[in-house]
Amino acid sequence: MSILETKGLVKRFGAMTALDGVTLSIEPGRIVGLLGPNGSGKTTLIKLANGLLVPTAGEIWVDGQAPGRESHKLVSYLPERTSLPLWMTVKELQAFYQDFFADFQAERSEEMLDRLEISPKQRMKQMSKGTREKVQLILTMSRQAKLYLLDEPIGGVDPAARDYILDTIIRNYNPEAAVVISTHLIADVEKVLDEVIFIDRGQILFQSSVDSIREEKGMSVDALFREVYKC
Amino acid sequence: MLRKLLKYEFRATARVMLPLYLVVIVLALLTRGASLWTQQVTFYGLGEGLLGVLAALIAVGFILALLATFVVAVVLAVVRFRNNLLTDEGYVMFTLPVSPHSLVCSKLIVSAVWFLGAVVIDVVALVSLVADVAMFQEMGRVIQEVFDSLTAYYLGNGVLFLVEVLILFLLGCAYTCLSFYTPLAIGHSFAQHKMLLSVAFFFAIVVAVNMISGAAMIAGLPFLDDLTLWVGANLTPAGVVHGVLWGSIAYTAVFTVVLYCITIRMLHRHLNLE
Amino acid sequence: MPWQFRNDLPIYTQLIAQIQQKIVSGALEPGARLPSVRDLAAEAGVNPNTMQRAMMEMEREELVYSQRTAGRFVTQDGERIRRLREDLARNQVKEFLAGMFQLGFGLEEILTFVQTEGETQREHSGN
Repeated sequence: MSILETKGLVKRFGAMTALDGVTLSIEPGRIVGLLGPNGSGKTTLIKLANGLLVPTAGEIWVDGQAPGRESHKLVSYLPERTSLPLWMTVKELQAFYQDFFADFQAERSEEMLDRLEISPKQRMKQMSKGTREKVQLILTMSRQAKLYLLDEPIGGVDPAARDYILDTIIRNYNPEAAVVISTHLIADVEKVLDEVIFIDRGQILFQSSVDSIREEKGMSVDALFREVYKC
Repeated sequence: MLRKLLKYEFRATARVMLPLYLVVIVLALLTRGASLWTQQVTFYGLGEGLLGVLAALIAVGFILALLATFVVAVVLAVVRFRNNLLTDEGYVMFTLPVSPHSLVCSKLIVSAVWFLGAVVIDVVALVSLVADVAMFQEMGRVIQEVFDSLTAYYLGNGVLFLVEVLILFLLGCAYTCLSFYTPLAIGHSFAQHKMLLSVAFFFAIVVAVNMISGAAMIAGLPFLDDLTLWVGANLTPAGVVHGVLWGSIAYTAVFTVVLYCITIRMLHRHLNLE
Repeated sequence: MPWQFRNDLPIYTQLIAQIQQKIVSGALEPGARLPSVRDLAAEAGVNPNTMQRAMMEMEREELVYSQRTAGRFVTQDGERIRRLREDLARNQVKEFLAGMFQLGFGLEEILTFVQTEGETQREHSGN
């Protein structure tokens, strides 16, 4: 069964249509790139899957149910913006995740914090923006979720941190879980993806596997992206 | 899950409220000390001058701190609601496996506790201004007496009377919080001018509540005479007090429930985080 | 040796080519135990499913074999490795020849050229 599925999904904000009839399905064991330029509807789609927005029309299921309290147990979400409370220390945040998510694995977060040399005693407030992003990513990836929704995880980080993030995603790979990575920086993530979904102006252009794009078109997904979104 | 939310809400707010309570107690003790000290030096004719001014300043500070316990409790309730649920932190809070009811209730409960705490601390601080050993002995007796006479006066309902006042107080707290939560939730469902719209909706709700109460009163006016007659014929004076309290409770409850439902609906269906 | 990828070929075929290279060059010895798919994928910075696909393909070609519990190993069949070595060499030569033909060389000319160039290299390396 698909872990994330949508059917004719529409989201309007007043007169603006952010998603216009999106139908897609994402299977477990897949690492999927949600690719599109800024404002194409990537974030709206991810917010809908998290129940942070309610569809105008159409349907969306996470593991067969509508997004909500129950689906939140299965979904580990990295928002586009760092959103952890600034007054808390890393240690307190670990306890917070442990308290609310039964699938949180403290040792895993411990290990990753160690590797990035982030002290658990540090308060979010005292950290640079980049470090905060790393902490949130570590907490997100320390869950044993069925669906990871990562909204622009490599947006503003330096190349070393970017490699670490991708490495974390690969090492965390689990055949029962799907990972959705939304981004417009395709060259950087292309190698870790199974599939890509191209989205533009609220519509799905196509969904395809990375190697079949390379096989059939003889070009990288990045090159294809540049061709498709040429303006 | 509500319990866990309460734990973190308490931690987040205790950082502000507990030090404030401490300030109140310290200022109370300083005021007490200063007044004792000035009494003594005045006896020797030395009470004037800089130290007198200092004592006065401490006393003013103490009064302000008493007020601050309530003002800060309200401001904190509003700021926490907005920052924790309607700005970036909302991304985390609304993707926890909890319902919007738990999120809002945890905030209402914690705010009510700090309001209640403010009452207790302020009373304790004021008592400590004048307290001595004899007074504490006396106080036990007085409280017993007050309770006895309450019970006697209200025909065994002294406890009920206190319960009613407590319910009204807690409802009042919830209503106060919600009268800020609701406009914030509505205002932040728009894409732009979130704060400006929140302020506008705050006043709109105040006006609406007043108009509805006014309309209800006017509608009730023709029955006022009948009601007075009925009350006169059927209720004891104690019954009247209970009646007024329960009436106020019902009145506050209606508006509280309406605002609560609007808030939940906005958060559930019309959340629009930036 | 760091992993490197071209943009115009499927990633799994490039993975296969680079692992074959390691087997032939001896960087991966016959019978050597391979890291887990996940670790290999992380090392190469590629999707684990893609690495899995490359491994399956190489199993089919009998270059690696897996034992249910112990993991996956490079083949111990020296003959098979020799054949792989020749296949790779043949491909190299074919590619080279194609390039030379494009430059307008004839076969005889190429052979002489290779001969002379080979001699020069031998002298340079001190033999």
